[in-house]
Formats: sequence, C-alpha cells, structure tokens
Amino acid sequence: MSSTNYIQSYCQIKNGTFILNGKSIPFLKSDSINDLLKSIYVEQEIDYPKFYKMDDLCKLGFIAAEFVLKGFSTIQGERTAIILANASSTLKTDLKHQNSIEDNNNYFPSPSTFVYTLPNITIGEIAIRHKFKGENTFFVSEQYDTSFMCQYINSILNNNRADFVLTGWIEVLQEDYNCFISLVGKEKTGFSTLFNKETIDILYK
Amino acid sequence: MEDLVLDLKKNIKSTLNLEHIEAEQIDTLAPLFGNGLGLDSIDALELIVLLEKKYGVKIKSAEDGKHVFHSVKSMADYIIANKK
Amino acid sequence: MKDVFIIADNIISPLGFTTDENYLNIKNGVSGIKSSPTPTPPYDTASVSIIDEVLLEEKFLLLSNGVLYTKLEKFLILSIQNTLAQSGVDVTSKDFYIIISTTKGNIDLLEEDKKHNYPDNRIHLWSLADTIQKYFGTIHKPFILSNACISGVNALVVASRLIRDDLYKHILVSGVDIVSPFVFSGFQSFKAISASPCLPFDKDRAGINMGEACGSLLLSSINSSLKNKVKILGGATSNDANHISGPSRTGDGLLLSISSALKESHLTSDKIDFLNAHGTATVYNDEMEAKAFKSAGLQNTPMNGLKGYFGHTLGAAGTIETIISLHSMLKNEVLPTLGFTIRGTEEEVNISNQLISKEIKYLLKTASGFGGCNGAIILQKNE
Repeated sequence: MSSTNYIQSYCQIKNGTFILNGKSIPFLKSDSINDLLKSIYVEQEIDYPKFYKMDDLCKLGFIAAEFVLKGFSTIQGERTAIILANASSTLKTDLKHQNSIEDNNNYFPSPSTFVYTLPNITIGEIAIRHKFKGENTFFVSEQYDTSFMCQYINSILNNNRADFVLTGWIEVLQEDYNCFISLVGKEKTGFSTLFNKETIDILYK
Repeated sequence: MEDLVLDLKKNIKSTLNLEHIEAEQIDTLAPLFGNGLGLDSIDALELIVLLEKKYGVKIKSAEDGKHVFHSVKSMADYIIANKK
Repeated sequence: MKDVFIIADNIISPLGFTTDENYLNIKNGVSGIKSSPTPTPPYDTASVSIIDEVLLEEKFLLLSNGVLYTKLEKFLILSIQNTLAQSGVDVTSKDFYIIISTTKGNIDLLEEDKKHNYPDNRIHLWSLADTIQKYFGTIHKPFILSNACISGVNALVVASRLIRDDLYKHILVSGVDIVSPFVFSGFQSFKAISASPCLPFDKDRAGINMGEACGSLLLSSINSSLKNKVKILGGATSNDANHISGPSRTGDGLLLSISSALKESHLTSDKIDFLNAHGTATVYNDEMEAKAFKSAGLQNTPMNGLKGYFGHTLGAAGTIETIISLHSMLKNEVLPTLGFTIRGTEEEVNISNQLISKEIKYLLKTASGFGGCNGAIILQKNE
C-alpha cells in the first residue's frame, strides 16, 4: 500500500543521543535511565507528579511524547491512536515484581509495581496525559518491524479509523534504552516527511 | 508517637514516590486523599502493603482502609492499636 | 474491501481440548474453576481454572517432536494444530500468517525451578514467534500483540482489518495465557481476587478467578468450503484516558469502542441480537460495562459473561469467549452466565442466567483492561 500519510514530528532517545525532528538536542549524560529521564523532566519544567510513580518504560514514553506533541495541543483526542511496539515488553519491571514474591516469608507483591508489568500501560499513561482516546495496541517483536507497523498504521489512517497516530518503538532492558516515536497524520504539516518503511528505516537507523 | 508519625511520613513519601514534596511537609492531620498529594486507588492499595510489610498490621480491603488512611495520624493510631 | 470469514477455531481449556468439548461442558453448566488445587501459597485460598498437567502431557505426546516446550507453548501448538486440521489452508503458504495475543507469555520461566531448563531468551514474548514458526514451518514469523485483557479481541480487530483491507488472505489468531504465581499475586495485591468461584454482574460479586486457556480462530478472505457461516463485520479499540488500573466511572471509553465497531459494521445498536461481555466480576469493572451498554442502547439486548466457566484467562479471554459466542450464534442460543443470580449493577442490563433460544444474526463481543483499554468486535451469521 502506498502511503499518503506524513510524519508531523518525531523524537529519538537512545543510549547517549537525543534527536528531535532531525536535530540533535544536547542533554545530560547519565548511567541510570531513571536519573536521566528525571533530569529531563525537571529541565523541561513539566508539572505532572504522577511521572515519578511510573516505571522506566513509561517515563521514557512519557518524555518522548512530550517532545513529539509540542505544538499539537489542538488535535482531537478521540481521533488520535497510539500504536507502540518493543522487544522486551516489561521484563525489567517483571523481574522486580517476581523478586517481591519469590520468598514465602517475605511475600509482598506491590500493586504499583505489578500494574507496570503490562507494556500497554505506557500507552495508557500517554493517553491520560494527552487525553487520547482512540485506537491503542502494543506489539512485540525482536526487532522494530517497520514493514508491518507502517502497513498497519497506514491502514488505520487510510480507512479513517483515526486522524493521527502516535507510533514507534520503545525499548528498555536494564539500563539500555531506545525510543523512537513519531506523530503521523494525513496532512503535510510539521516535519512533513512521507510516512513509510523506507523513511522510518532511515530515521530510526 | 511522634517518631512513628515522622517514620510513617518518610515511608509514605518513598513508597508512593512523592518526589514533589518533602516528608516533613505532609500534614499529620490533613486528609491524605482528595487533597494536594494527588493520591489515587493504587496508592491506597500500596499503603495496605506498607502497613503489612513495615509495621506488621493487616487491612483486608481498600474499603476497610478508608478510615485508616484518612490521615497520617489515623494511620499511626491504627498501628499502635493493632500492633502485636 | 474483502469479507472476513472465520473458517476454523479451537479452544484448549480445563473444559476440553476442542471447541465442541468446551461448548458442551458450558451448556451442561460445568465450570473449569476449582478451589485450592495446590495447598501452597499463593493459591492456597483461591479458586482457579487450571489445565490438568497429566492430561496435557498425554494430548501433547502425539504432537511432540522431541523438543522441550513450556506449558504455554504446548497450549499454542495444540490449539493451532487442531484449528489448522479443520481447514484446507497450507501453513507453509506465503499467504498464511499468525498473530499471537498474550499478556505474559512464558512468565513462569522467571521462577527459580523452571528458568534453568530453557535458554535465557525464552522468557521474551518475541521468542514465542520463533518457537511457533519453527514448529509449524511457516514462511512468516508470527506477530505478537500484548495489550492487557483486551489482547484477544484486539488481535481479532487487527487481523480482520488486515484481511478486510486486502493486505492479507489468511491470519490465524491465537490467544494464550497461563495461571502463574506472578499474575495471581499481582491481582491479589489489587484485592481483585475472589476466593470462591466468581459471580459476574451479581450483587455479591467479589472479584476474579485466574484461569488459563488458549483460543485460536482462523480468519480468511476466501470462503472456500461455503460451510463457513460467520463473518467479522467490524471492530475497534479505544482508551479511557482516565486511570491506568481503575475502570472508568462513566463507561465512555468502552462506549467509544462499541460505537466505532458499529460504525465500521454499518449497524445500529438495535440490530445486535446478543452481547458477550467482558464481565470479570470485580465491582467496578462490571458496573462500568453496564453503564457503557446502557449508553449504547444495549440495556435490553440479551447478554452473558463466560468468566464463571473459564475464570479470567487474560490474553486468551477475547479469543475463547468469541469462539463460544459465535457457536452460540450458529446454534441460535444464549448460554447462561454462570455465577449470576441477582443483578448487582446500578444500571439495568439484560443478563441471561438460563439457556435462551433466540434467532441471532449479529453478535457483539467486548473487552476492557488495565491501561484503560477497551475493545469491541461484531460478528455476523452469514446466510
């Protein structure tokens, strides 16, 4: 299917680099992904205390979405979809939850840990922050399957199931992280680059 | 009692990841829910775990917890009354 | 636009290893939920729906190729194999794809006594794609979808769209999850577990029972045998954008899924003859659903919930409940909601607690889950 949809804006945050719409953004280096994301949160003067309760995967998605969605505050929530994917699901938080139940004499499963053992909670956190109520799905694959993801997202937009799709790859495993998120829409505005596998492969690298 | 209250405040702050305020700033008598702390239903469940894990007192459901989690003071009272 | 037919299906659960066995047991009022199958924590005070391991080994022996498979992988292999056997579809064809829906996959491999038996990467959801591709020799690697408790319905929505838009010809959707201390303890920490068998929509409902199952449906644009009487007309997902675990107090998110699914199906809600709800039997979920159904104009539509037979099977729920419901449609009967006696939701809804004979042409299946997600799908009996 040929695409007539456009990337409105995109952001990549991965080990040591931060790119917003093709431009490199200087940011503090940190060995801990949690410290790094918190420092960006503070530096951006975001006021959203629930951010501190999120696990690293959600914090990463939340921060990336803040940048990607700057300037798009008027898009209609019910017509905006969130379709994300990654490789490790929520394994980092899974290990934390498993630790809390291993020992029968020290068995204290925590609801605020357990809730983050589902990858689509990242979608939920972004949806709550931006009031996006449209389509939402989380896929898992070993590598970012740009062919399938672009195909499905174009089919959503071309069949008028949404006006905008926030989509991408969001992976956290131990202290490694790689997040590539873009806002895709029907109009040729913003970053205005054709949304297809070829473009995403070049930008994502 | 005062030691317990301060200890509770510190534990509430760290357990619920309340990084936007200091433990000492939590009002001992003010309602924990429905005010500026921004606590929600998961926080209520997490407070149940906190009481069991750190203070050895049990609460059956979030519903039973309503009066216990009214304030830091009511939590402290409950701990003192139920601690074995 | 292509038609989307459901040409074969299978359910693996404590109620049987085929759809027919499962359907018959449900019709006879049999539940897979048993109390305290193991005396050790965390299941010591619980009712759960678990597949008998000895029976599973016995069934799997016929399909074994000598490779060591996990319990969840055995469910998948058995279910996919049985579904394919009913169809003429060539699994090694370039037109054949698989979508697996699961919330936690091989999560039991985090347990100390199990993790050393398998390679490290087997814990990853993506490894299921490799395992299944290797076993069946498919050309394409299966896609994996993980969207909490709507995963099964969500996978059917995705697959039916890809076929309707003529991008794919055959997609087998397989939803699966197992009961594990991992998930059980999590729902326990949410105080969402009922010690006794669950009571969906009932006034005394007190939470969920965990269950395990696998459900597979083969979707195709080609109605080769003409015996395939069910089509997927449309479907949608939505988000409450309200809270990551608590169900919406208004039901607006689920309502949006239902209205989008109706729109895609070119139907109005009065055309829906039967509704299969998510019905977890937690206080807030069932109330939320009742509100959404009322707002959608479905308060008089005969509805049921199947968690009283299967427990909550997470990533499998949407698939196995859709399969039972589509066979209900073919038989023109609404099955009873096991556990339901007296309505406990504020909003009035028409919940069946006995077998009803009724002409069913259109059915609606819904699901809702953590992360504020909702899903809805509409099926039609193809005359």
